[in-house]
Amino acid sequence: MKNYKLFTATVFAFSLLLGFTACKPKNAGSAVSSDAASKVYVAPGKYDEFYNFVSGGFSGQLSAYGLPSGRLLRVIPVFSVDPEKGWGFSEETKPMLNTSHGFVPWDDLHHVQMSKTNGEYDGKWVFGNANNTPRVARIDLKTFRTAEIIELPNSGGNHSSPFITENTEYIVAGTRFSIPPDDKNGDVPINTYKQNFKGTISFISVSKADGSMDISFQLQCPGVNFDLSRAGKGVSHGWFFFSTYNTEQANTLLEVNASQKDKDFIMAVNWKKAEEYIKAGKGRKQSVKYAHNKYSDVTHSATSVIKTEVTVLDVKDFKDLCYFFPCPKSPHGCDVSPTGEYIVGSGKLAALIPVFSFDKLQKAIAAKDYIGEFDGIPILKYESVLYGEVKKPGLGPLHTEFDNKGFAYTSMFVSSEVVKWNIKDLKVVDRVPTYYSVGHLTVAGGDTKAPYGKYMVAYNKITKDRFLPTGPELSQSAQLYDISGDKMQLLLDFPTIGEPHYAQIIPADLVKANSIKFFKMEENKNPYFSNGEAATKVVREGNKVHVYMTAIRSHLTPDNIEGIRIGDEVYFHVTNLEQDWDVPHGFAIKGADNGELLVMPGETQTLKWVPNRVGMFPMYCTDFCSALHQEMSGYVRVSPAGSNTPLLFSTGKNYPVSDTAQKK
Amino acid sequence: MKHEKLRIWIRLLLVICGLALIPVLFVPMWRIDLVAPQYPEGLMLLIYPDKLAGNVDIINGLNHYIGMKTLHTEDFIEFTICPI
Repeated sequence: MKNYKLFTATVFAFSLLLGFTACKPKNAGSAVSSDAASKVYVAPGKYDEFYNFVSGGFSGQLSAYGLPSGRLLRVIPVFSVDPEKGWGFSEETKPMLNTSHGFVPWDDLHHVQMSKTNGEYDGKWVFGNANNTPRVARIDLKTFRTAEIIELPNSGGNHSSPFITENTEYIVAGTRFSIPPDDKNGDVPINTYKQNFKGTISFISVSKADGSMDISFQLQCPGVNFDLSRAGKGVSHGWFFFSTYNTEQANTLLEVNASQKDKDFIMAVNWKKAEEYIKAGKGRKQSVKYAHNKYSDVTHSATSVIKTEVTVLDVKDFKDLCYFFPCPKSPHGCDVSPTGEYIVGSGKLAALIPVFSFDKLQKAIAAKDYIGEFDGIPILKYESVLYGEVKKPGLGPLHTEFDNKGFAYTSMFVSSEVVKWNIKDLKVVDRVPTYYSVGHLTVAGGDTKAPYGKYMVAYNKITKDRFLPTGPELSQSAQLYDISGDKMQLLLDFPTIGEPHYAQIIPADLVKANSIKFFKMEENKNPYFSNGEAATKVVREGNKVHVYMTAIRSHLTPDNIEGIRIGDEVYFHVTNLEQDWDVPHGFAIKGADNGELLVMPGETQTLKWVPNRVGMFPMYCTDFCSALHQEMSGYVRVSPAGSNTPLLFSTGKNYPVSDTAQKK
Repeated sequence: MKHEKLRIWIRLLLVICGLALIPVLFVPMWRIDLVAPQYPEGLMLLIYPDKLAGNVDIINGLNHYIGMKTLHTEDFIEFTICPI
């Protein structure tokens, strides 16, 4: 009897334990199959097959990873300063962050787009958007540095940006937050949204030769939230598609008030038509203020110009420019299939994915199959534009990318998974969990006319237990999947910088050959360039002192400077005389209240230093450059204001008097 | 002393040998290969009859910080006495 009781108790305890373990969520470890490691292993010294350019979200940076290894290759400051690189600290780079609001050294970089030729990546530039103080940046892939930033007037939250047409004719920038136009009085009650607020979409042209950007024209649209966009391609080239939400035009508690309607809209824009109207002089010149900043690899410095005019088309005055078609549940992504035939809408709270047909859209427009108007823009009938709906895909579809075999991959935020479905018959064929709550996803070449397929990366919004804990804030998490087979296979987790939104994956061969190794000295046109040590000097102009300095392994010239006085502004113009790959020199001086310089071979960069006390100030090279790097240093003597210490500068000459006597 | 005319083929051979020396003026007389862990691709100094070539600038940069004088074509009188 006693034994029986013990037995029952044991069985009970055991089943309880079993029950607990069974209730515990399945560990992600079980989702990884055994050959995953060999698929992501890139041996030391070997190169990855792809570059992965990943947005850095609220870090304002862009990062470059290698795939399939997930190795971080470079962090590129775009809408941010970067103490590691002296970016935004040197006098030459500061103008890059200038705006009509002044120096804005931070932003929220959401989307990444590679430049395209014939609908495929050409490996020349990467574009990124600034969501907060609206801007678009171009990063040059010869140098992996930000080459240009253009600010956007009439905009408030540049989210549906920087999406790009198939030959990089235009980059678009649609405002997420509608606002009163810049030339109108913005000092109005907030609850006059419906009367006073407008949504503006900018079309930025890109020069084929050097990538220079220019705001070609803007479309003034009804005041709603423009969320995401994609250019048509192939059959739909010449059109652009924008998802919208808050067609309720709410100005407060949007989570409730902007979710009233069952359907918001996708806006189709005939941009070729807009081009014609602009050419015909139909645009209205509007007085605005925006900054246009460019960095030159010849002068090694940036210039910022404030521009004062844009050309605007008010879309309600042109009946054949824009059309709305309904899309359920506050759509987010509106992605275009490789052929350009299908437009995939993704309602953030929807339980299905509507797929629209470009062909049917054209027919509906021709037949004027309208169900009404919204602020003067015709609304097409949902069923007339719809190709079909993907049924039961999961919950909370956000973004869709495509592979080379006719499949689409949609990220599901709420149900935390990626769903693979067939573009033709709209049947779901596979699903994999993500850890956790995937936002954007990207397939190699997944937004081009000819996707490469092979890999898909999910960029997750929640990281939780995926890596060793690092306090309350965790690094973000990306997950690499092999999509070459019928089933998607999780291969790797890797941490990312900031919050990764959109990203692009491009074959390394399209980029790596163009990477430059150093800047040629003979091409340096910086006004403070020192062409060799013989050209170094220290020049006083009132209270400004210009130090023309050179750096070479392993000394600075000059390395002894006397005659600096309190009240002086000292500018160290440091030229790196090296002409070899991977020999940067850094420069720092005690008490400098901004940062360091990091000077590439053949380049000139300037650090401003305002000494605030009398004394001796060491300066040195910060980037370990040679066996005698620790010797690469010097001193600056600072005397009181008004003192008559003579201005002296030298390297290897300033010996004690006794030593000099002995030498003679 | 009996003079015997050089045979025709020996004369021809001499001319050919003489002509064969011309390319010497355009190819390096001496090639120095340098090996270092930081330069897996190797560094090369090429000495032509009239100039220095190869990775002279990089080698000068490296030599500089171990206290060696930099190499310049102009500093060698030998380069000026060659026939080109």
